[in-house]
Amino acid sequence: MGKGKNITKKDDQALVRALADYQNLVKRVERERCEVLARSNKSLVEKLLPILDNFQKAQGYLKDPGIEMALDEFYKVLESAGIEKIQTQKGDTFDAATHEAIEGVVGGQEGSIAEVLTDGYKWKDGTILRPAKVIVYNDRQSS
Amino acid sequence: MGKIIGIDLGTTNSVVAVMEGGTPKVIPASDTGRNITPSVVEPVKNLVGDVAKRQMILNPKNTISSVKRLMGRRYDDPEAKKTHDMVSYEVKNGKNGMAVVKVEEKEYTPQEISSFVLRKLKKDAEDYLGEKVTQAVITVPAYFDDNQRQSTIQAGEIAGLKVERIINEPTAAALAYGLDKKNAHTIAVYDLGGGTFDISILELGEGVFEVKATNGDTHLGGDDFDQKVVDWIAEEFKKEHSVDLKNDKQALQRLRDAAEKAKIDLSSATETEINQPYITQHNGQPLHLSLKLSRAKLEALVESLIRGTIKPLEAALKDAGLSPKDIDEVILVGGMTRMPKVQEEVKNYFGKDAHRGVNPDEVVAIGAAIQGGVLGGEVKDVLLLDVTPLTLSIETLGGVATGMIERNTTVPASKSQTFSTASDNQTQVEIHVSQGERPLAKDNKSLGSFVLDGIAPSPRGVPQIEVTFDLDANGILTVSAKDTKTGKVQSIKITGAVGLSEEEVKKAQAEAETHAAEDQAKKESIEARNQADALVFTAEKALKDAGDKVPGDVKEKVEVEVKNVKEVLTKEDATKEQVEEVSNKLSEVLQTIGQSVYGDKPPAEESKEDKEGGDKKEGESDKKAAEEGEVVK
Repeated sequence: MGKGKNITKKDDQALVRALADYQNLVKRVERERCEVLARSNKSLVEKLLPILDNFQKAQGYLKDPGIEMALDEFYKVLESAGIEKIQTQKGDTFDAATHEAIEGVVGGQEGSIAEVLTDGYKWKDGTILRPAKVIVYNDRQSS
Repeated sequence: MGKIIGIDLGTTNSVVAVMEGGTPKVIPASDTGRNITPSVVEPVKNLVGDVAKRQMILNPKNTISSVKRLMGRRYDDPEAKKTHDMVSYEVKNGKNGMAVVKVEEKEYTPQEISSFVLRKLKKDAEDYLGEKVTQAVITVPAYFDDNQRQSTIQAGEIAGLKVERIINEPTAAALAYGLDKKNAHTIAVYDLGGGTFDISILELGEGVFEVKATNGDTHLGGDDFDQKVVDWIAEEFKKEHSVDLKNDKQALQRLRDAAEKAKIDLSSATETEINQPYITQHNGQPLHLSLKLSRAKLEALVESLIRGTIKPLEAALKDAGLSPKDIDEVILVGGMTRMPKVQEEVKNYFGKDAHRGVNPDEVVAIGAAIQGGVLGGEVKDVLLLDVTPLTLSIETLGGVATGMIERNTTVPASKSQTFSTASDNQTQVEIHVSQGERPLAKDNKSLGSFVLDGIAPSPRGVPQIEVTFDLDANGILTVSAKDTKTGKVQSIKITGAVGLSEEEVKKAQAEAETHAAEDQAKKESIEARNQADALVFTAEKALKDAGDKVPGDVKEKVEVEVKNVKEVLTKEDATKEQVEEVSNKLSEVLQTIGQSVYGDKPPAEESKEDKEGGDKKEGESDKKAAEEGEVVK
């Protein structure tokens, strides 16, 4: 306290601005509250996804039908939480909006995806949770 | 007039913030939701930030990063040369010998490239605020010369932003910590970012920051720390499996992520596990990476890097003609300063703890936003809305300080609560106002008291005294007490109450902490006494009301227990347990009154009463509040 010297000498401009700020804040809080409700699992999901990646890698080697079932169950849970896998496969055109290029390789259709390393995920409204990590055919500039 | 946003236009990452309702808020990128945007631009496809970074490896010649290193520099400048050798895009000698970048036959000045980043931050701010943004405060390193500052202003103009002011990054950090409001002093800002290290010595006088000296290393930052960890992991893996992960691009990518994560983990944990199953394969067999890294080991790995920051520190102080003990305040900026070892080294050097609390990645943008708020005339006024440093309370039965306005409440604030009397036929109550965090009023600072009299004689708990605390924006506290039956009001105005120095506030809080346990015990004991006292009152009233309906033996039993409780209550040193023991006994025999009065019909009656009570929840809670908060004396 103590600093509040001249607040009684009202500056209309400042008051109007503070009020506007407040109203905007109320609107945003409401909007954010909805988002928070929808995405309250975000930080947990972000920690779980790398573990899912590892199970997928393991399945790549093991090809075990039991693990396949378990993975399917996992996807269903993600879907129920409003999270979708970004559908990406070999041959798709690389798009930096949803893909992250890890490596460029020669030998295929320029700019198309050569391999999907880890799946990407997005929220139902299209916001990217994590881009898919991919290898891309890139004759021109691959280093 | 719209808002003036604050932008930290960084070498590796950029951040935008704005003042909102008097406090700075960092604005998240609309596409990723992250508070930081990589300063990476692909000008041909117009990709900026994370999106540009994701395609960098495919498009290295067209993807521009670290362009700040070229800002306002001539092509033959040593730093421009160094950058030229480091980056994968083309750096050329442009108009007037200035460094420019060339992408697909088109030349771009560094300010043009930077304008892509600024335009994105501007748009993120507009999306967030829901209004047009046309003005900004942009920060630059303290060592930027006129040319570099001019280029930064141009970058803003190209992006459609009027740059209201360019401020130094260390100055912005000092603003974020509110150091401009303190007395003239000397500040050291230690900024260890993703790719650069800067040390600045500032002197504050008359509200103006003057840069006394700067130094640093333009090629030392968090990325170097990560690389040390990557090297170590790769080496350990090689020892075990004879495979070099650095030759496997996919594995290397995972290694980088894992190294950064381990580094971050070790800022809070003393040991972390690095687990990356199926990191690579050898002779058709999958190989797994599993290592433990301790904080001590990490510190050993990066020791030379941390030591590398001390030399520039010494040089800067020497230039300023100061010694470490002349520095009054130390501020840490940049994500790497989260590392405990870095904090420790800085502390050892200056002999004092650095300021912490503001996110070191965002502190510069926050300072820029504050400056924007000051220029927009917004901060000056709105910041006057202060908070109460300590709880304001009223003393109730047993000397308990019942909080009315809790600490950290933004003022102006007002609160009312209804209290009642503690004894029968009490005709006056004393309202005693205190300030502090201790549960008993006598341990807090007394602010004043007054008496409300003229209460109509009635049984305890019946009169309704409405007490209102009103704290206005200037810190003037008005406490009033009103007898709702007679309408009689008494009040007191307390002015000297809230002008506390920082030390006084700290002292009061520290005291509350030290005495927390004993205070709690005292408070519980008082509460037990209050309950016992209320029970005695109920028992005596029940005996009186029931009259002859109570059999003689029951009456006698109750009277014995009432006497016991009263006896215990007269002893000052009676413990909470002793009080509870006698109250429980009284409570038990008290029930026998009910049984003897209602005979064998009690269940129906009781359930009916319960129901009524439930329906009248509001009234009931009022009564409870009144009973709990009885005013004594």
